[in-house]
Amino acid sequence: MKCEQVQSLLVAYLDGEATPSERALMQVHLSGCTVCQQEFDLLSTARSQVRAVLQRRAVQAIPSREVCDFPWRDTNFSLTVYRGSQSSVVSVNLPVSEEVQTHEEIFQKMRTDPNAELVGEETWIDGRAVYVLRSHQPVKAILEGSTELPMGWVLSYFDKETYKIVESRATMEKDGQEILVYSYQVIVDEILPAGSNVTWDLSDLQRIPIVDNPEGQHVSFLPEVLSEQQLASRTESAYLLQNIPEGFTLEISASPKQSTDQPFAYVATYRNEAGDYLVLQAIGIKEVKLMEEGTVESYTTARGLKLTFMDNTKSSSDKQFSSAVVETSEGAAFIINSTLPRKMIKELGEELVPVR
Amino acid sequence: LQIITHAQSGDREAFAILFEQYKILVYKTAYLMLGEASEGEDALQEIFLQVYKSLSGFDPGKAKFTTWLYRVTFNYCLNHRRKKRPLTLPLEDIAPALRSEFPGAQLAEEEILQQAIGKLTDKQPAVVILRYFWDLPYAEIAQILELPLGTVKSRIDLALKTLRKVLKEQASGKGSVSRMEVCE
Repeated sequence: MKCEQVQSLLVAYLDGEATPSERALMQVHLSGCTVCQQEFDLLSTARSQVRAVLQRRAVQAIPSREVCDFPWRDTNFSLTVYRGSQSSVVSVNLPVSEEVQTHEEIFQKMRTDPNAELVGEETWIDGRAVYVLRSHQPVKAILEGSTELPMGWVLSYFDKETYKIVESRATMEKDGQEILVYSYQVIVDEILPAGSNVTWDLSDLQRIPIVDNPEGQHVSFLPEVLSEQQLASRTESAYLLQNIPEGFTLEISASPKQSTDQPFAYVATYRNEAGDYLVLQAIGIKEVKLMEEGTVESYTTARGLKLTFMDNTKSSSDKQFSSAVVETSEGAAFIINSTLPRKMIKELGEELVPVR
Repeated sequence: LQIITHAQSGDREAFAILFEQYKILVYKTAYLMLGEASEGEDALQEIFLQVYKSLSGFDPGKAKFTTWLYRVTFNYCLNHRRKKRPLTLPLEDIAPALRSEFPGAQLAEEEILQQAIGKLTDKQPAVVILRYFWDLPYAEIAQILELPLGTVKSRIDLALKTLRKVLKEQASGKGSVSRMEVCE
């Protein structure tokens, strides 16, 4: 071994990082070369001094108590759960879709959508098997206080047995980052008698403050019940029946914090004790696709509203069921779903008037 | 490892345990890298905030937790140093920089060394701290700093030789440093 070679390995040698053969060769060289031996001694001293300096500096270095409390005091770090009041809307989703289309049919329809793709199957810890469907679609998101519909990705999980959606997650991209817009999982799916009180026991969420928030500043996505006057004050394009039919009650519900640049969405539910109903749902502008698919009859009211009845051959045998799209001359559109006969819906259509 | 897995799934108590276990590692490393107690404390907070946010990205199959934690710590410190001192001296200039034109203001060897370590550039102080403070083997240092083993070897070699040169010059009377520099 030459001096140059030895000196390039001295530090590694001191650090115990030279290979056994290097060590052996160096030991031989060092025993007979005073220049390299001197260099070795100097480096060895420097090494000890460096160690000593670092140890001495760091030995008193202890972070202050204040800093050590840090992550658990910082409010940015904590998660707060806001518990809103139970929505008092009795029926937002009537079992309409179940009668017209089964869950399986809805699933099949969704998976054949060109923007959707079946990405796989999973088995959950509880043993449930699910299909995972991913679709690229507009996602309703509240961005800087206003409701918008940016394009995003929605992952939907369908129970393989019932085809019901059991989980859904929507994400969107903003400033190069993926943001979770919403995520929900269906834990129980039960129909309770109207007026049932559901108590959420969240006591297992330890160290997470739970704030009751009945006013809804934080919890504001559940539909709320509106009076006719309130509906009129929210929008100028709402329609309702001039008079509530005999024996029926009316409930108007709408999502809070709706975007002002979109038509106001609301649901007016007329129902009687016999279980008949007529549900009028504002869907904003007319959807052409709806009009093309299996329409059976059109009817125009004296006030110029066009009712287009849909073919409901799939309705269950013992119960009549009708649905129709209502278009106003201004281009606003509504859907009517009802257990009433078509003739009666036409008669009621004559009574549809703008809410003032 | 179980604690890390719990912390990864959002268990705050597990994260608190991680913090307790590793706060000294992070704090002392940052303190040695940055040179001041207050900076070390800021670093401790910032680094654990980053750890909290990015813990899900840590893969126990790929590296030891401490390797990952050292890496997060050094990345923070290197960025911080870069911001703070955009003009660092090249390694070769350290010895002359420590030399004073005013003889008589002799400093203890340790203080000279301390300053010399502080003036090492880029990843040089990191290798010195990992090797001579934390006593880590070269291979682990290479993993932490994401450098080839040969590079770690040559950097440690160069760093120690530079520091030795500083000491040698100081011993031969050339290496006194002005008071101005001491107070820097």
